[in-house]
Amino acid sequence: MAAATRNLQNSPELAQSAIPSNAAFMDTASTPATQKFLLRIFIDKFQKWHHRSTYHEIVERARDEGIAGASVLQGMEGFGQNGRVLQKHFWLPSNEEMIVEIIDDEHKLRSFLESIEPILKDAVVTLQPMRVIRYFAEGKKHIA
Amino acid sequence: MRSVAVKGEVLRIFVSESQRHNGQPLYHVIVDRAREAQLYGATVLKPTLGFGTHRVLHTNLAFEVSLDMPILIEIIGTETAIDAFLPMLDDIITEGIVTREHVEVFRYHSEDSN
Repeated sequence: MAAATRNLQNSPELAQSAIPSNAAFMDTASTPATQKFLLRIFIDKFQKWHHRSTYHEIVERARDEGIAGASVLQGMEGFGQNGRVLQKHFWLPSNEEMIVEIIDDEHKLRSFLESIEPILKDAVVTLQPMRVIRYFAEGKKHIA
Repeated sequence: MRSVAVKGEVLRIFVSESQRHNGQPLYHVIVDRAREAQLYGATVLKPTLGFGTHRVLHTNLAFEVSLDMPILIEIIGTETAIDAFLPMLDDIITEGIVTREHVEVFRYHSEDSN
């Protein structure tokens, strides 16, 4: 009985789920070193999903899924999927592009991207490997 | 609707807002040219603070009036499209920094635009 409990505790699935996702982020035992991925979503600022900005919805969903972190950057001009130039004019409601940047493990980002596919319209998404060398969370510093 | 993931590159161009080409803001010319080229997208970002090749600190804080802000233009496309775009860029940029890196690109279209 005791042995069975110990085995359960040692099972990687259980260990993974027991640790909050932020603490697991730099856990070298569960992920190959510090190799993370950067997902960037280029999307129109005024695109909506159920009365909420799509970029906002993406960030909320990323948080709900335990993704390590997301940032939104505001562009001032650009063109995207449909080729029209989006330019900011001070006298008109502006059409600007937003960039949502998300960093986490490759498999997490790929499954996250798949899960948000239905809400992505006229978006360009890039995915690239990157190294995370420092991660500060919950008062702790993780150094790679 | 999602397209297949393709291998692409992201080009990041750091110039200053005041730079001009034929009287037009340089970053605007770059975005226009990028749109005419076979590239997937371009976005202009305005950092709040930075310094460039002259090492002068640029800021957008009102009490430190600066008319020469840095500008970052990000362009996404295939390696071939970026290769073809670079000579044009070399002709119009006189000062700045350009970086490029490999990325995987996914493109999404709304049903009505295709």
